[in-house]
Amino acid sequence: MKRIAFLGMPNTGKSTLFNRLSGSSARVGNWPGITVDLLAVKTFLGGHMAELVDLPGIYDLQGLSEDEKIVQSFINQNKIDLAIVVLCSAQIERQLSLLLQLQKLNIPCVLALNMDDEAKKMGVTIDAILLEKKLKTPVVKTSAKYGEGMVELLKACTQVINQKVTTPIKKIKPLKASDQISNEKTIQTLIKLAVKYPTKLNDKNTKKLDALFLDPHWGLPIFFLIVFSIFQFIFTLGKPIQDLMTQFFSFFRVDYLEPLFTNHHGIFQSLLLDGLYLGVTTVAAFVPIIILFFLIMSVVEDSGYFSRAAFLMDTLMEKIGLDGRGFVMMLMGFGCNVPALMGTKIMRTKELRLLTMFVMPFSLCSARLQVFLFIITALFSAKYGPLVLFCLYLLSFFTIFISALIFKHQFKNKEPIIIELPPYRFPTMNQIIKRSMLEIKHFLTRATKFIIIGVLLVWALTHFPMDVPIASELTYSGQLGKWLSPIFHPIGINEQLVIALIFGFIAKEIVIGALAVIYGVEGSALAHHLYSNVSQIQAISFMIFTLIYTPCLSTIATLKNESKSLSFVIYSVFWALLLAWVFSFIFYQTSLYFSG
Amino acid sequence: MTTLLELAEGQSGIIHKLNMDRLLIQRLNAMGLRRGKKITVLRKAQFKGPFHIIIDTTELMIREHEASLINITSPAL
Repeated sequence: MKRIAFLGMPNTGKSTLFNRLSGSSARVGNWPGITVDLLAVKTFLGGHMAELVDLPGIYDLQGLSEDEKIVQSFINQNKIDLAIVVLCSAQIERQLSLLLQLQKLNIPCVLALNMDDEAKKMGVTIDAILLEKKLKTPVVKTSAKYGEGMVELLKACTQVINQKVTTPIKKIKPLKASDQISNEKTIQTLIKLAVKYPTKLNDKNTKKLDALFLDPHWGLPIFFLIVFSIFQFIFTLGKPIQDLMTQFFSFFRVDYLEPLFTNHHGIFQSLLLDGLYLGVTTVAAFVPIIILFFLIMSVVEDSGYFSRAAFLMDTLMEKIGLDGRGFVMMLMGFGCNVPALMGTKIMRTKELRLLTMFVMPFSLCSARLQVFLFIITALFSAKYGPLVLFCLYLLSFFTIFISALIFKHQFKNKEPIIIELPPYRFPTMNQIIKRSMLEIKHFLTRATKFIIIGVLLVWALTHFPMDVPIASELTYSGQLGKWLSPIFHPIGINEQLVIALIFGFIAKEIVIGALAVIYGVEGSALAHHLYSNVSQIQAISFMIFTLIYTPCLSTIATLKNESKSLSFVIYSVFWALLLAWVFSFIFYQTSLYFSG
Repeated sequence: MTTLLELAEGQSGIIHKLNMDRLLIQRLNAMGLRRGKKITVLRKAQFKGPFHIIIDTTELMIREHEASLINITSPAL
C-alpha cells in the first residue's frame, strides 16, 4: 500500500483536486497521533494500491497552529510515499516554500500548479518544464475546478511512486534561520527564471466587487441583505420539507408501526416508538436543513465573500474575542444551531473556534421560535406579543455577547488574525454537491448514536415506573421535577413545566407536544389551559429559561463532534444552565417585586 | 521608520522588518508578507477596524495590532 498525501496552502483548491482524484467515495479515517478527521480514499495507481489522504491546508510546515500540528504529526508518524503539493499558480512566489521544506525531508513530491485557468486570466505565465528541471520534481499544470491536467498529474504520480526511494525520510525539525534565507534565495532565482508577471496585475472583477461589497456605507447593509436572503432561502425551502418529513414520520407511525405492535406489551411498543423511533426521526428531520445550508454555504465560502463579511464585522467582534467569521456563523445559528456549529470549521485557530462554538447555542433558532410563538399567542395580546418576541431576540444577542466577553480570556486566541481575501470565484455544481454530501455523512454518522441515547434516557425518565400515567408527577421525571422545585420555584417554573423542560432537552420542537401530554389537552385547549394556569411573568421566565438552558440534543451532539472534547460540552451545558437560571431569576423576582 | 499602521488608504510602502518571533515571521512570509515586498493599503474598515492590504497577487485582511508590528520604508520613487 502506497500512501499519497495532499499538501498545500489554504485557498489553493487542494480539496477540489483531492475530490477530482478520489471520486466521491472518500471516508474519514484514523491515523496515529491525530485526533481530527482527515479524508482518505483507497484507489489503484500505477500497479499499486494507494491511499490518498487530504491534509489540512497550511501556510507553513513549522507553525504552531492546530492544522500545522496535525500535518506535522501526520508526516512524522506515517510513512508518506508521495506528497502532491498543490499551489495556486498566480501566487507561486510565496507558496513554493512549502515544496522546498518537504523536499528537505526527502519526501518524494509532485507539484501541481493549480488554478491554471486563473493565472492565465491574470496574465501570469509559468515555464513548467524549466521549473521541473530546476526543482528536480515533476511539475504539472492543473485546474481542478474544470478537471484539467488530471491525466498528466496521475501520470507524474505513477512515475514517482514506481521510483526506488533510497534516502530515508527525515522528521520535521525547526528550520534554521540560514535555511530560511537559502530557501528564499532559491525561490527568488526560480521565480525570475520561470515566471513572468504582467507589467500591471489586473483582476478587474475582484476590484469592482470589493468596491461594492466593502464600501464603507453600503458594505454592511449589503451584507445583512445577503445573510437575510440566504436565511429566507434555506427556511422557505427547508421548513416545508422538514414539516413534510415530520408529517410522514407520524403518519408512518400511526398507520404502519402502531398496528404492528398491537399484540405486544405496551412498554415494548413505547420503547420502540416513543424512544427509538422518535430519536431516529428527530435526527432525520434535520437533514434537509443541513443539506440546504451547506449547499449555500459552500457557494458563499468558495466565492470569497465569506472573508469579506469577516472584514466588515471584524471591528465589533474583535472586542468580544471573536472574529468576523464568527458573526456570520452566529447569524446562521438563528436558523439552526447544528449546521452553524459545523460551519465554524473554517476557523483555523482552536481557541477562536471553541469560543465561537461556546456562544453559538444561544442563538434563538427556529425550533425555539415555534415554542415561543405558541406560548406568546396563548398568553399575550397581539399588541404586546411581538414586543415580547423582539425582547427574546435581543436577549439572545445579549447572552452571546456577555458569554463571549466573560470567556474570551479563557479561550484566548494566540494566533494573529490575518485572513486571506481570495479573488471572487464561483464554485462549480460538482464542488457544491460533493461538499454538502460530505457534511451530511459527517452529521449522520456522528450524531445518531448520541441522540438515540439521549432520547432513550428521557423516555425512561418519563415512562417509569410503569404503572403510572406517562409524564405525570408520579414518574421519575415528575419526581425529579418535585426534587428540583427548590431550584425552579424561585424562577416561577412549576413542576409540570419542569417536565416539559426535560423533554425540551431532546428538541425544542417537542416541548409543546410534551405540554399537551402533561396537561392532557391539545391545541387551542392547551393554549387556554396555559392562559388560566400560568401567569405572564411565569411564561416569560419559562421562555427565558428555554431560550438559554440548552438548545437540543442534536446541537449538543454536534458540539461534541466538532470540539472532540466531552469536558468542553459539559462546561458549555453547565454555563448555559447557570446563565438561564440567573436571567430567569433576575427577571422573575424583579417583576414580582414591581407587580407587588 | 514607520509601521504599516501609519499608511493611509491607497498608500504603499516597502516591508523593512517584521517585529515578531521567528515562527510568526515564517508564517507571514508564507502569506506573502516578506522583507523588501511592496505593500499597499487598499482600504481600512471604520472604527479602527482591520486593514485590507495587497502584496503582489495576495490580498489580506490584517488587524491593527499585527499592522503595528510591520516596519515599512517609503517606496523608492
